[in-house]
Amino acid sequence: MPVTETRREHETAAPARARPAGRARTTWPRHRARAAALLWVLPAVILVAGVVHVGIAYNAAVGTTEWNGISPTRLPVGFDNYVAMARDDVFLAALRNTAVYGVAIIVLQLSLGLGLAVLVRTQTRGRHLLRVLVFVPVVLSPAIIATSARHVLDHDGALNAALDAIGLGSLAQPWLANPTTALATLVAITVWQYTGYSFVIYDAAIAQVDEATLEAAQIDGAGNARMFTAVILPSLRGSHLVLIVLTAINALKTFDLVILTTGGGPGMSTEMLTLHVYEQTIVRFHAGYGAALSMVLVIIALVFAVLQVRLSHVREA
Amino acid sequence: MFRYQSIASRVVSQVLVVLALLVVIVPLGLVLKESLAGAGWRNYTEVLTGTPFLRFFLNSLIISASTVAVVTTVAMAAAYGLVMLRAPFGRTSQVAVIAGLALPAVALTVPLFVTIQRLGLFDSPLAVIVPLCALSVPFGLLVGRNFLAGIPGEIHEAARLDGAGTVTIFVRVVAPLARPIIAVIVIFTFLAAWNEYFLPLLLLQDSSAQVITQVPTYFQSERQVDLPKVFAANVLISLPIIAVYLVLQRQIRAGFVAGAIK
Amino acid sequence: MKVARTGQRRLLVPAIALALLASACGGGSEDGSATDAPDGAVHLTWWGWNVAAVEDVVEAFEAEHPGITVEFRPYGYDDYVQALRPALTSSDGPDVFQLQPGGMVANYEPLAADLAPLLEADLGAGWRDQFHEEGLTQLAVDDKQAAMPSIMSAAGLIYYNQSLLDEAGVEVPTTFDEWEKACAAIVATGAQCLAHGAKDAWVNIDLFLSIINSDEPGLVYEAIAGETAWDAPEFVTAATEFARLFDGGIVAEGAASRAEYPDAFNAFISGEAAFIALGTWNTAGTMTNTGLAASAEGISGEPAGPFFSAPFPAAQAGKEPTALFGGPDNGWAVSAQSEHPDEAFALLTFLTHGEGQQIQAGLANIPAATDVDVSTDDVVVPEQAANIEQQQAAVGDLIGARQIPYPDLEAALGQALSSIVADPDSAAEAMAQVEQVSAGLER
Repeated sequence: MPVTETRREHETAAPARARPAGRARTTWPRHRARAAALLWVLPAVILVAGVVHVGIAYNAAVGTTEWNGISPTRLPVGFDNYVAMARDDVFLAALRNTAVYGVAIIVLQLSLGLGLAVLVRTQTRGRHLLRVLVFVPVVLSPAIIATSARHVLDHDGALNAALDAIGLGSLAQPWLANPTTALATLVAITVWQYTGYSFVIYDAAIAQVDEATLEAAQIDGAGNARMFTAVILPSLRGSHLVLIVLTAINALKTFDLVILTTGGGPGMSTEMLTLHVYEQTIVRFHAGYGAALSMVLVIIALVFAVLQVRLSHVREA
Repeated sequence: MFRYQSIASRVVSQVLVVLALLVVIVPLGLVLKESLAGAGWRNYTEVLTGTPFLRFFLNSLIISASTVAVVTTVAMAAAYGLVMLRAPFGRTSQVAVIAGLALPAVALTVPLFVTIQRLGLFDSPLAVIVPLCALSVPFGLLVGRNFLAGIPGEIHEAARLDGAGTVTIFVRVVAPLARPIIAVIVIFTFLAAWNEYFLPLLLLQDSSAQVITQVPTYFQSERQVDLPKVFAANVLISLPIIAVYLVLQRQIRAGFVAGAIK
Repeated sequence: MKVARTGQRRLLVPAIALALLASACGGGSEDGSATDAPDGAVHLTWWGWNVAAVEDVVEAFEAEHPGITVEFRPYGYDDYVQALRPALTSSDGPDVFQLQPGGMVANYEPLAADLAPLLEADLGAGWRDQFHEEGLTQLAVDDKQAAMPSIMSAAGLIYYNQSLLDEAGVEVPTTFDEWEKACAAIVATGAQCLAHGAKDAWVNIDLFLSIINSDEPGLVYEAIAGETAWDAPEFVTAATEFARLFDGGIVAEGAASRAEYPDAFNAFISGEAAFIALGTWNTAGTMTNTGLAASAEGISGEPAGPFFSAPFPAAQAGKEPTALFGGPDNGWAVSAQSEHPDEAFALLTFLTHGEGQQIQAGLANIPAATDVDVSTDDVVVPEQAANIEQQQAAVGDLIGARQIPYPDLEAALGQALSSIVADPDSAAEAMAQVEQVSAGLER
């Protein structure tokens, strides 16, 4: 099957296979080449370390103290802040909500984004318009999205009116104010807004698939479905991994939309980790505990980052 | 792609396109409608004339353009170093860079303020540009690395055997090949920089140095919000990003031009 | 302090690298020191999230003090509290800044100058008599006067739309029973009854305090001080009565995802809802022509009205409605880091017992200086004048504060009320949670 053959060729054609030219030479210049390669990476690392990792170090330090964020003295408490999290109901609710929310938006945004990236490549009317419009929600500010959502999804809002009009009035309810639907509604709003994000990444990745490979597949009589599963999908593994990490991090950092629509309520039904960090650090003057909570977010992201790097290297090896 | 579709699959994809369009357009229409409520188009003219719109627009443009230039260069260079030059500590540095992304903004406020102050950058545009770069480089590195990993190594190898130096290869070979992903990085970095709200507020004292995201605040106070004008302001703020996307998405679709290299 | 030092050293290496990189990025750094204007005038920075007619205030102050220029930086409240922290601990902060009574005063007090000696030098030993006592005590920590009140405000009121009440043929309710009946009549006309943004914890707390201060006047302040348990029967009853607002037809369904501002407030101003439970800070925006015009900017159309205020109805038949509770709406403080403390104090003087108070009184905000009368010149209908004067008189006789000075306790109460909104049957359980936090508090 030529199709599979092309695929294998494509897969093995990853960069590391650029056989190190130095193999024939002595090892010393190879080391030097690798050290020189470091220079290419250094600006990025310095920039991120200087801003972000300084921030992480600061939070790691503050996280082992009891401090109101203002006073010149901090009381060292070791790992007490981390121990206290186990008994913090709001934290546990936030952790659970963030996990549910994260998994839901990863699954939905990736599948819908990929679906749309394929859809705009079909011979349909309106596909060019769709390509543009799907990105528009991504650029809107959370303030606009949240305000509109509060109005549209309110008890007497446009969505319920529409449901009434098509005879589904029994489903009508205050979507964001009902503790059983609030989190799912936030997922829906997020997916509506950010599917364009994964769409753009998939769009670029699919564009990378060699036109010649596709043509070869078509000449071989591969149908569209077969072309998708045999040629396109395998080339997207790296993009899936990238998007899973990025979407997971976005879920961890979700703040504006939630604080502007539900404020974490009703009850604790939409409490999120960053909301809790904000409340502890700023509103309740527990900067030490807030910093420890922030470290939890970093650690969760670290797990995702390790997985992403490992899996993407597995793919390329 | 998918140039030959059966009738049935054509119908299905057409229905899906229409459905997707509706789901996107209806809420966007409501946003537009709200922005025209009350005074109609006068909401827009008041946003443009009743605020330092042009001044803030230019400030935003300077900050965003600088951020995009730095992020794209730095991130692509790092991706090139990691993928094609096989820089040491590749995995470690990549993990470290990505994990840092999750630090909540609240947790970054104080250390960032102190760093910027110690660097003597407080109150200069760099006070905003430097952190914005740092916050966007991880994204650029992640997607850039993933894209370069999909480029056949032979291309790099061939250029090398021709005697080209790493800089030449990066500029002449890799950058043109990576146009789609560079476009993606430019779009999302521009989006992040353009929509940034808090950093200028925190790090720029001079109120005339503020950026375009401050415009809506002219129509809201603690207890009153002029919603139609806030919406109109936000629609206007969004237009440049959509314009950038419109211009660049041709590049995204430009696809893989491996054949052109040979 | 060891922590801080390690932090500094860790900063150094990346910081230098970053500086190199930054200079490589290009773009010159302009010299941003704006502290001293070129003509030798002193330049003050003034930060806040909430001050009415700020342009007029700055103009009047600069006219009175030719050697001083003032730049006011407006923030949204959330941005303000985030930006203030690093700024005040550095030399790049404001000279004069705003504080909210409660936890903010308690925590920011070390960064504010003690105003008491300055006020005594300025106004004499009897300086305290010139202000509302609650306005001073809620902005002081022990003997230190950390801030001075800008204006006074108090809750325990409902504002109502007279036209909607007339249309439904109902009187202003004084008890929950009357209120529920009135609401049924109002809802029958197609309007909402009480506009309420239950997403915001502070409005729920205002409602709860209004109820408990009518049920058992003053008891809640004992609980705040830790002398009474929050899960005592009186509190569970009050929490159940709070729940009754939501399932008895007074608050419209779906309140938990509405914000007080702008959602509930706009519904009230536009005439969609008959009542809103706010305090005296709402008077300017509802009862004066200027204020109402500003409020109407947020709605598409003409504002409804006329609006009046009345005591928040008593939950239990036979009980008096609550007395007003409140204090300083917010206060002005002088930064301990200010390079121009004298000029900063001059601004504070102007704001809190100078012409600044006249400007606020002119807008129908209740002055903190007792010798200034609130103005009723701009009322929409003449009957509102008496209503506003009553409010000013009532502010002189408050039952207690609006803010709970312990942020953890305030948050716990807010959380409890939010869960009661979600599940009205959970009142007892929710109050037990509050008591758990209260019992563990270091007061």
